[in-house]
Amino acid sequence: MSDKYDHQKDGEPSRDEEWGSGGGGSTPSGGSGDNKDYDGPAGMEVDGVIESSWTEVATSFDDMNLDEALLRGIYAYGFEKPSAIQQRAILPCIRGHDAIAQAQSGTGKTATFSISILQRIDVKSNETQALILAPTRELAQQIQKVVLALGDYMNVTCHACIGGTNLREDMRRLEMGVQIIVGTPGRVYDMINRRVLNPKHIKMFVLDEADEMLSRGFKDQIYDVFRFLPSEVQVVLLSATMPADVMDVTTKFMRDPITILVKKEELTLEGIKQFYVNVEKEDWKLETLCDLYETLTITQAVIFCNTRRKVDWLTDKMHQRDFTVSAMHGDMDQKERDVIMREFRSGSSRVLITTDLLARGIDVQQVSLVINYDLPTNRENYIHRIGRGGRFGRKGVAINFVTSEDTRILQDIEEHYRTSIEEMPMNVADLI
Amino acid sequence: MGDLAVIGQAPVMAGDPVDEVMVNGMASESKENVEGLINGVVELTERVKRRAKRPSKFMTKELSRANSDTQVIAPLRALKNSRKSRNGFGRGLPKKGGAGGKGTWGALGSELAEEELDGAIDSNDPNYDEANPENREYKIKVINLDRSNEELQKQISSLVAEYFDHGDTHETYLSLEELQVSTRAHLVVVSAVELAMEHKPSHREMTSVLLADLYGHLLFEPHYAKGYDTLIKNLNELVLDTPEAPTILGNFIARSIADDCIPPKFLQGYKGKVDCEHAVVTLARSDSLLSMRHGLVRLDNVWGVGGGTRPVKYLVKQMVLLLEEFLSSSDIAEATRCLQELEVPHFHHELVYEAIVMAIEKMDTRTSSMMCELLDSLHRAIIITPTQMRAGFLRVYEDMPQICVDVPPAYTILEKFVLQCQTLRIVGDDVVKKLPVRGRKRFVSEGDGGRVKDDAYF
Repeated sequence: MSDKYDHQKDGEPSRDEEWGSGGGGSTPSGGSGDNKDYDGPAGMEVDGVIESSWTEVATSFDDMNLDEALLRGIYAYGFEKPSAIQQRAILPCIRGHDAIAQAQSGTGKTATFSISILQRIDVKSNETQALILAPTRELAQQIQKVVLALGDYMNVTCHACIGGTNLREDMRRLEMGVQIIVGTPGRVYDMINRRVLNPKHIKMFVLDEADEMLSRGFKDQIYDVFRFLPSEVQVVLLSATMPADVMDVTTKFMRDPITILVKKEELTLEGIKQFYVNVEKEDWKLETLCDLYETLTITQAVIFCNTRRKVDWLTDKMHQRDFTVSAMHGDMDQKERDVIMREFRSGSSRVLITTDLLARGIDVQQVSLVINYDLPTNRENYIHRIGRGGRFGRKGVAINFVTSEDTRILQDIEEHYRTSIEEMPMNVADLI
Repeated sequence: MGDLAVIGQAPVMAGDPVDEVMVNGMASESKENVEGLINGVVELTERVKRRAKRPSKFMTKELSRANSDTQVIAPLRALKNSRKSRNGFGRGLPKKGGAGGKGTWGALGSELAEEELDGAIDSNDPNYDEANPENREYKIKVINLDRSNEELQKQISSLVAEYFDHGDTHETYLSLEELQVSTRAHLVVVSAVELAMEHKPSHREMTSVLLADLYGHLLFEPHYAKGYDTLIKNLNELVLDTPEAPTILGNFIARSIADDCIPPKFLQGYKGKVDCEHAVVTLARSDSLLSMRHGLVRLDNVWGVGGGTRPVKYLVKQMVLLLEEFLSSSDIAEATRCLQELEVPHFHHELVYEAIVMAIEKMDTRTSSMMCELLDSLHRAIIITPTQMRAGFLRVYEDMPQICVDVPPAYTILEKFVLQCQTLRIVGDDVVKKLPVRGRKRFVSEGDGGRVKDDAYF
């Protein structure tokens, strides 16, 4: 894998977006040959939760008849095997069918439509050929990153309409001609109204996170945009849930769409042994961590703190005691993060200290130990820290440091996930 | 830093306040004048010799400073063993390395190592004034990073995004303080609210808490006023990416007023002065929220009651409440909305659990079929994932012995309910297979081959 693409893989993870884990999908398995228990990317095992009206399944990107430059981009991006949704949805999308793709967060929906668009685009034409609507500007920018990364060898243009102070820049770029445009429905509609975006040649119309878009009140704007599009446009809709308003959109805009539902949850706590250590006082966490250090470095470990200040502080303390650790948090720029992630992935650093903000950016197979130096404030973050996708069939251990005041919070976590967190046994090293 | 002090350059410390450094610069300059112009060469040597016996003024100055700032100690120690002159401009004697002395060119390359007061201009000096290289006064501004508003807003946004995770307002305050927003503190309000608009209601709640907590520390009344004013003026833009921006902003303003960050007269200031339709919505929204009876108390819940930071017990209560409401209203859409507003997808098993338990406890077919209908709808919309659904059913199974104590026919009702769900394919066969058998079986009679009386309690 070329280093160059690594950063897009664990690109800016955002709070309520799933594909911080690099468009989800697949993670390079360390040589799939020797790894028999590797069951492929998330959601691949078909246990009755996949409902699809399209029977063809392509289990490899090579089988999809993709453009060579695109294929190169896909592998360079770090994908090896298509995820469940990608196996089923890419082909019908490329063949021009309208499609509804439902899958949980982080299963590679973004890459699904990105690959389809890139395959269908006419690189020689400078016209806008694909339009992607996303619920937030943040997400729009992330989509743009994925599209550009996958299409790196194809010489495509993709622009995310952000507006604000960038309005002038937006307009300048659009006037120069951009093949793929991403933006929120309101923003895109505004661009069409200003006549800087010419929708005449759009052949693919993608609604990403449709449920989220509708709950943010974009219904009218979506309808408005649609009215400007050519009547033969192909519509692809992606969503994590399928409430009535999303179904409405599908019936109104789509012609006999292919439906692919992958209801399986991406993250699970199953198979992960969760422990707590009663450290009583905040001050004693550090000692406890140092005592555990030997255990940490058996494989690789991620330590979560709640704030970047704590990350810095802990890193400093650990260095003072001559423990080798690396640290990563949102304060660092992308380049710095890339270097640290690369070190960690390659195994040259074995302990990584970080915050929630980047929890979704870390999916390294070797990480079998996660330490919650601080318990997460928002319980929904707990599973993002320690949960694993189906692709990690391996055992994992999570250790929570609990002060006397945290007892209640720990109980709440147990109830929230209906799981049990036991006191850490002495032989924890044997479990890793 | 150490080098500087050793060389004897008037020390310029990054942390120094402006005026002190200014005074230093001026003082040494005037000394130089005195020496260079008024004194003759002979007098100079004499005076300098005498001076060399007592600690130089420079040293005392350094010492007093060392007391105030421990960082200077290390350079001082180096200074002690330094063979170089201890005062700012040398003793005028030949240098130990030779080739020196006042009025000589100095050793080869010495100009690289030292700076004279009136000497080389070093473009690498952090204080080098590009615009005016002739300027000799050392000025250190209190970090005036040349950041554009956008850059600053980006930095603030990243801090707020992190705050959404850790929820520690004090931590965020410290980080914001480090950013040195000073005169542009209103941008904190602008960035936080803009970011909150892109996020979920629970994040908006956190933003409101942050804005209230920063009051008096980083933010003051004018900052809020200016911040909200900027946002109101920018509504036309905001509404493109967040259709509900006017209402959201209205909520924020009302909440800030309720939190005593800005006075209610802030709103009055706009009366009749806005023509933007969105701004009108915003102001009307704030106004109505504030003028509601007991409005101020209600504003605490202006962003709803959900989020993974709330205690589990509280969320359980909310779920029970929404189910009870659903039983009386039969409004599936509303129940769905309420559930999603709680923002705890990994806790949805609780809703399943409560729904089933409620169906068992109410013991009537209406409740059962309504709950079934609700679960079916949530299942089809994949708002409750199969995993969560399964977990909810299994929890009920586990608790059956307890539930049965209060509701004797619980097993029968549960069985009916589960089978009903099975026909709707809400749960898979594996869940049905795990259905617990009731503890006590009632047989029709002793001798009929063990046929179970299936209407035991009806």
